[in-house]
Amino acid sequence: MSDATPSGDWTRTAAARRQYNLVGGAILAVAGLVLLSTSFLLHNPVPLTVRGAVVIFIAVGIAISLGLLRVQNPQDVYGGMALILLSLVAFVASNDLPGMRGFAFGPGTAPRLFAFTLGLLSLGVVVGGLLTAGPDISGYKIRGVVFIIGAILAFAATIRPLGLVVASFTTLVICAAAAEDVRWKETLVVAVCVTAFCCVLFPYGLNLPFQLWPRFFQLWPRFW
Amino acid sequence: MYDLISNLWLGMGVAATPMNIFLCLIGALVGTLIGVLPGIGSLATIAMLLPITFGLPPVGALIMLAGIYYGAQYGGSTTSILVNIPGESSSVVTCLDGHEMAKQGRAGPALAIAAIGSFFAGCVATVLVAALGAPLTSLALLFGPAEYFSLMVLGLIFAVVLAKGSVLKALTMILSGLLLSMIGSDLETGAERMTWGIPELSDGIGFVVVGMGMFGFGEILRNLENPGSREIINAKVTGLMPTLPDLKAAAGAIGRGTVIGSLLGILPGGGAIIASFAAYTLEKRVSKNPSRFGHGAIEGVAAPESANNAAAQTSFIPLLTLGIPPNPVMALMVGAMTIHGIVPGPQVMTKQPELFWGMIASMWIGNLMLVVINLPLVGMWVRLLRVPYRHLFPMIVIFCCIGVYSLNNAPFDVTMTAIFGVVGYWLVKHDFEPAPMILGFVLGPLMEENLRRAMLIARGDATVFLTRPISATLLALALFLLVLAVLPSLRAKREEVFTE
Amino acid sequence: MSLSAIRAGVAAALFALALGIAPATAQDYPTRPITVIVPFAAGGPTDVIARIVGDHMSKTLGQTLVIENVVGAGGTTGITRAKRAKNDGYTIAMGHLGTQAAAPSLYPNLQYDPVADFEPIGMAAGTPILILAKKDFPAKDLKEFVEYVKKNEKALNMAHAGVGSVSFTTCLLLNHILKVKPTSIPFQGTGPSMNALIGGQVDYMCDQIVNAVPQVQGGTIKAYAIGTETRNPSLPNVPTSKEAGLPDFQASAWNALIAPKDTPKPIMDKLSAALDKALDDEPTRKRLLELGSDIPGKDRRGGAALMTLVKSEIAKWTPVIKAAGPAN
Repeated sequence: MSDATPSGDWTRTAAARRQYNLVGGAILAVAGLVLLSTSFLLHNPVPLTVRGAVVIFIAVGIAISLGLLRVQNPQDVYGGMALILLSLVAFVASNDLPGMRGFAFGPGTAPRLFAFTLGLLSLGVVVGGLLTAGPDISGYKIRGVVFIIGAILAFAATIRPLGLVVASFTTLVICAAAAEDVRWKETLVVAVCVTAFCCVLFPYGLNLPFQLWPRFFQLWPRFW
Repeated sequence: MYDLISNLWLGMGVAATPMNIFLCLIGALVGTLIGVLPGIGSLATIAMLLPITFGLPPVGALIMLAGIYYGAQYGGSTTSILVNIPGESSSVVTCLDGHEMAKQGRAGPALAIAAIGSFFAGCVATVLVAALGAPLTSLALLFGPAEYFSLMVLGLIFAVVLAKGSVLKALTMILSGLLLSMIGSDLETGAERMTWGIPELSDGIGFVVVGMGMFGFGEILRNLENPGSREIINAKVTGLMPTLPDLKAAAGAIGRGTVIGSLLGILPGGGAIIASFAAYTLEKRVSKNPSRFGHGAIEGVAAPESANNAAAQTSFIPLLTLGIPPNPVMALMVGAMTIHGIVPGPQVMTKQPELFWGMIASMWIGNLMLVVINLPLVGMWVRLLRVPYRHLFPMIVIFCCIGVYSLNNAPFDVTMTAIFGVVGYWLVKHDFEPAPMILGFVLGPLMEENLRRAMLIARGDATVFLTRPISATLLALALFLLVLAVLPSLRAKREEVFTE
Repeated sequence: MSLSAIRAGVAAALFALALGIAPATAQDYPTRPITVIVPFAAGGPTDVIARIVGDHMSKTLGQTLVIENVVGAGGTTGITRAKRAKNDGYTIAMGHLGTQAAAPSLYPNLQYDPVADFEPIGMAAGTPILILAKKDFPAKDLKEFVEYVKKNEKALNMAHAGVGSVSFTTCLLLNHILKVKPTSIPFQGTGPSMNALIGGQVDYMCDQIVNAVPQVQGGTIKAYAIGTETRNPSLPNVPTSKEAGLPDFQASAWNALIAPKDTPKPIMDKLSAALDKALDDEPTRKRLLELGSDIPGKDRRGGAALMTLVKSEIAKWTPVIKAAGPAN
């Protein structure tokens, strides 16, 4: 199991664990609250059982946060809780879909069936995590997440209005910042080369419809 | 038998002209290129290249398009092995052990065995297409909705078996995949399901978006946790080619993979994906030491690669004998045929034998071509891994972004990939495996559709799954595999309890 | 207000400056490739027709017609994109029976109006609809078929290729005429539904002739009638619905080129003329006929005829779909 946690099996001190559970449980409770309030905004009333389940979910989150529940295997407890939340979200989201019509499945049958089974199995994962001990969750590398995701979002935001050249250069540079051992001079050279390569390969080599340069002509009339 | 040989001879005569060999080479090259580029699918490229083939004679055009098709199938496994990004759903399994091998400095043998396995499987499957095309078609027609549903259930059980860790967690992953796949329009009523009113979600989330995010971006985020580790791996790169023990270990896997792939490839819709998972599962079952799987077992690359290439060849059977395209790429080939004035179907074999047998012979040539192109490329790919990781990962990211964007020209897809990247990273942190989720995601819609169809046809009588012999057999097999998968983990749990 | 006027003025000046000189006039059209949005997958009947016709139109116009397949939501995604495109004649679309006539009553949240939001270029080609049944369906001809279906309504399974597809809407038409409600089994596209029909998993369906010719010729399925005025050369033995005694079943999946609203008239005329020329070209006709297509005669071509067609088709399909109730 340890191969899935590449940063090694460093374990937290008891105090750090309490801290982690305080924050983790609070996040779960808040996510549950958001779901609960969303369920009141929908047109179709969400069944009481689903709302009840969400309330219990929030309660468990608070209990974890306050240390009332002993988290023995944080990977399983938090993982399972998140999947339970996913199944509850699916219940709320598929709420307006009609279910069985006689012997025929409705659009909502399968999603609710799967969501129910997922919730049940995830509950098993959570219970298992409360009863048997397991490894801690290794620390997140926030730098990597921020810059990689930022780079991808930058691509999504720039490719339409600014074209392939600007989008790929920007993405490459933001992305490179994710590495701790980034060397800016090298990065800029590589970014220029890769951008040039992309701009030849995709629009010309593969004949894909890409716009290379910013489309100012289309942008301007929007400001009128 | 004599007929077969004389027919193949006729085909060789058509396919082995310099012009057609050249077109086959171009097709295989372009196919490999787009297969290697993450996200650029063969569908989009064939669609783009279709007009170019207008000027060619029909046989040449089809040979080239077929070359692109299986070239892309093959090229996809290169990306799976090198950077853990499955280009097609059928190469998800290749990631499991292939990328693990690459991490151990054995990218060369992994790539080479994939090429060798694919070549062998392709050759065998081609003979199968030629000799048994027509009878195998009737096999495919035996599969109604009930049988398909049971096949999908079996496929999902494969996902449990191939998981490394807890069975329970693998099952939750499968169900999460199934739930994700429900997003989008309902097939029967067209109702929007769980889209939260976002129009971009009304056609569901694409496989590439999920696969690339969870595998590709998730992998990058994980690698960034310990800078420098990649360089250490690269330092220990050993031999480019598989060693004799490697080949011995893989030989059986290639053979079994070929058989499974050839049979399941005939089934339109999901056949090729299930084939690769089934081949992997079988290897893990027959292996004396199943714990090596998921940690760089060469059989874990050889079997699914042989299976998916065999399936890629036999998936031509429904097209050639019935004129029914089993997947979108084949549908495009039908379009190409009709544009060239050929109506695909049973009469192609009799009315235009040179076209039919020419294409079959070209599959052989194409497979040979792929080995010839790819074995020398192995060295180049391995050298690519030596590029310092701080420069390599931005390149992977930009290629992925461009690839995903090119699918629908939709920035929304790129954003979704980013989200799935975080999800993939988070899953690994919590010791969940993404592979079962992907399989659930791919098979989910097929499973639901066929379940609903079967229930409609049976007027709500659920026993139909047990009274139809093929369906019942498949379900029994699924149950058997599930029990086999659960037993050792139960035993292990007991031992765990005792040791504490 | 004055500030925004100044801004607009500056922007306009910059815009003109950016273009260098005055924009190219409609007379020079086309000066760059024209995108044809096909709202269905490449290789499907609509796509193939668009490519064949587009091939010849490219020659006439002197610029390539690039086919862009924008798939989704029964073809309405692509047509919605065409509606939002700039009306400069460089983006046109291939609409069809489903997207231009059936969609308004099928999709309550449709983003476009087939009549008000588009300029008609002209009808390209149609593919006739066949009434098909599995090989061992116990009926010799259409009369027996109708009797059998009416009698065994509850036991029969009718396949279609998904909500919004041509086979779906035409099957609704057949049900509407026969006043039956068999169990309808949805499939993902025409390939799988045809597979199920050959395999005998479903009893009957309606589909476009292109998909069915090889199967009918090969004897793996039966064809009872064709929904056009005349018999089709690809399947000369299949009677028309009128001959076989079901004259109300008139259905052809027509495909037509359309442009966004207010595309300048000179451009529209050029496009219509190019389409007209393509439909008169012998090699192009031959390729279309090989598909079993129904090529419109002179009186059914051009923008005005298309507009009439769209209006009459909407009037025809709305009650059929509404009668079937929400979601089949």
